[in-house]
Amino acid sequence: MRREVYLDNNATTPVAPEVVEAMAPYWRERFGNPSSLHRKGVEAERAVRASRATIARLLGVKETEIVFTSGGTEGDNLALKGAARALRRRGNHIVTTRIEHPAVLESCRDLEAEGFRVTYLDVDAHGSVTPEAVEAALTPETILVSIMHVNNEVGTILPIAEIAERVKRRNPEIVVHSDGVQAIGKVPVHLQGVDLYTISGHKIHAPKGTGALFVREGVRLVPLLSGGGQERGLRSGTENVAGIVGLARALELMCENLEERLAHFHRVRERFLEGVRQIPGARINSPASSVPTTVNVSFPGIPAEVLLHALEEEGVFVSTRAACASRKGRRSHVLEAMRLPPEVIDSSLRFSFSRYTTLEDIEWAIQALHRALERVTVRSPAPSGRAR
Amino acid sequence: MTQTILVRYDEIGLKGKNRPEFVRRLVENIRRVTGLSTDQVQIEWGRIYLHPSGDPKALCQRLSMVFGVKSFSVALVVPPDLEGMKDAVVEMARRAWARGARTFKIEARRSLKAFPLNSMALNRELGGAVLRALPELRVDVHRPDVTLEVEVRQEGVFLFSERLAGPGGLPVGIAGRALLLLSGGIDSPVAGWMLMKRGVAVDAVYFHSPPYVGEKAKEKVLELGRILARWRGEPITVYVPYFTEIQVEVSRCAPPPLWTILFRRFMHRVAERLAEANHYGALATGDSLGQVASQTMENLACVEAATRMLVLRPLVGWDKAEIVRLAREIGTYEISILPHEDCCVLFAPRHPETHARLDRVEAIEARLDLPRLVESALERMEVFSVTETEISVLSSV
Repeated sequence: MRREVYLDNNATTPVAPEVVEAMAPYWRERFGNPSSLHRKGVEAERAVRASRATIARLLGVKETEIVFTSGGTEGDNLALKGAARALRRRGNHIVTTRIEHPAVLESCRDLEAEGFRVTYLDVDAHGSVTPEAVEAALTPETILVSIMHVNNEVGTILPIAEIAERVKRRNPEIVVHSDGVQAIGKVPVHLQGVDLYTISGHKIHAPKGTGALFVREGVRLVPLLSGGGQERGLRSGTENVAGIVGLARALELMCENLEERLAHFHRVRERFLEGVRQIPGARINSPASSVPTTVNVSFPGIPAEVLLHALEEEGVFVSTRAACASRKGRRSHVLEAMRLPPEVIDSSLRFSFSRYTTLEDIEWAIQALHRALERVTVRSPAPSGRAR
Repeated sequence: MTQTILVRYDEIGLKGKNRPEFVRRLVENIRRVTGLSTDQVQIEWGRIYLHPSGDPKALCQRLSMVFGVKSFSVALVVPPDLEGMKDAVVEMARRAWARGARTFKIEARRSLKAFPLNSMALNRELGGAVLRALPELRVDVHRPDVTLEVEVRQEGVFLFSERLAGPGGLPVGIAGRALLLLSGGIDSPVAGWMLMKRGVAVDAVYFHSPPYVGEKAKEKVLELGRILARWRGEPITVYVPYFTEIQVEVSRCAPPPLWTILFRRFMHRVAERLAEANHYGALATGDSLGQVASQTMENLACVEAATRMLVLRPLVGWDKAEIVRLAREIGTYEISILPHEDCCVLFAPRHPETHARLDRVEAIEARLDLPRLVESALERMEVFSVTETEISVLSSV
């Protein structure tokens, strides 16, 4: 069979066999509704409780601080809208960055429509913000700060612990949220100072439609959904029991031997970067200090989507935010915020690795990259009116 | 009292031998999409009656998409007996009242001359019955909320209160077969629909150029194919030739302003080959005069000169707004505006030629190996069969 190398793990990951195995009984014989009073319900409830305990332990937080959600988007929406609406009487100002995931940015737009004021912080060339810059943006009206932990497009690790500390020193009442969807299993997670933290299952080998929001004790949220009052009233709706079990198992796997796996990720990245550096004109957009699982590279002059499809023909799957037509407005807001030139943005590809990525995969991908570039560079014409 | 669907078709322009052929095809098409048996379809002079076994609602939905159907009505059928007719017309009036109608009129017609009452007398008798049963309902002969129509015919008495519109036109298949150049855009699916409305069985060809264009662009075209298949009432074939080699070769040899013209000439050549091999009578495109650079009169002429086959351009005189309106109505617009482009920016010249000269174009083509390039597109062609719900591969590379 033709080799396939999946290097789009920031988009989604395959579900781990261990996770499938852990979930299966909760679709079949242990299918109960945790709210039911009979044995079937108790069985399911117990599974949810055990999963919650596992996740709390792995994150170093209390069980009562975990709210299960349908994933990153819901977690971010609940965190931002829930906190802002609960704090409306104390103030109306929110601080975030220009490089957040759309789930955060669009939630901010919705809140602006409700009368909140949002400051979108610029980032530096590495796609990061300093704690000083965040502090400088605070006003007496500030109620909420939302800064992602790891950026999904370039892999930048943002200093959320320091940011949280600064913010809290200035005003302990300000709620600090961080989107940790791309951080789990890729950086050690310590939640000191952070009040709300979003995680998503399908980025860590659990199924799509699973996730959790850490909500620090004492932080009030207005729920998004009305209903049966599950998850302490914060997230009504019958629990996705199998999904929750899978999320816990996946998180366990991600945290097991984290050091060892990080070392593997670094080897994978080093090998990949070595290969990419051999390619004339290639430009690496991810900062050296980014998570080792994300490498954003540009091949100026070659539309990213064309190279993506050429790699696809070689069996290598990657990602781009730049469309072939590269119409304005469809460019990556992250790379634009990093002030990269248009030709770099329009030719940028994201390679993202997982625990299943091997060094052989990387060898294959590098060779495929050479072949794909050969094909589209030699054979494709120069765009009209512009020499290359 | 039984329920029947009464289907009307346009007779204008149907003369002599055309007519039985038209009706036969229409009935065949109706049966195909509704799944009715031959016993359930009755053909009478100027009319088709359908006798559904269950709820006619789903059937009406389908009928509204069968070309050749001018209008149709769900009718009550009773024997030619005045008392029974009165009961039926009162029942219909009750239903209209429940839907909010407050004024009515009776419109009776009698083609069964043996029936003792003429139309005028029938109107009076039946109107009186309605007024006695529903004293609050009033007669308004000029602008009634509901018209209760009664037709006394040889085959029975038909009563109905609504005429539902069909799409009109001619039954698909009666006017031959055409091969539509289908892109992911707004225009070409509308052009296909227009031809189907004129009775043409339309299949499609989409030119795919991986890796410059992704799988999603192809999926989008196949989705459009699904909508066209729904209107056609039978599976449509979508041919997907491999266009990459042609695009790469042309863009190497020709000045950028002429690329689009050359690409289109190749598309027509490849389509013509397909059409000849598969017995299509014409090619069809979504061209609209002057809409974009490649659609000036000179450029259309230049493209047309590449092939001998008839090229149908049903949208040639349409404005974009008109095309968009129809695209929304027939359900292709939402798919057409999805973002996946069918031509990579690398092959889209910034300043396309608007007045191409055939001699120049031909001079450039003389440097190309035309037969080999056309062959390259057909050699790696995929073929799909697309129905309203399913896309299946007929052949792949």
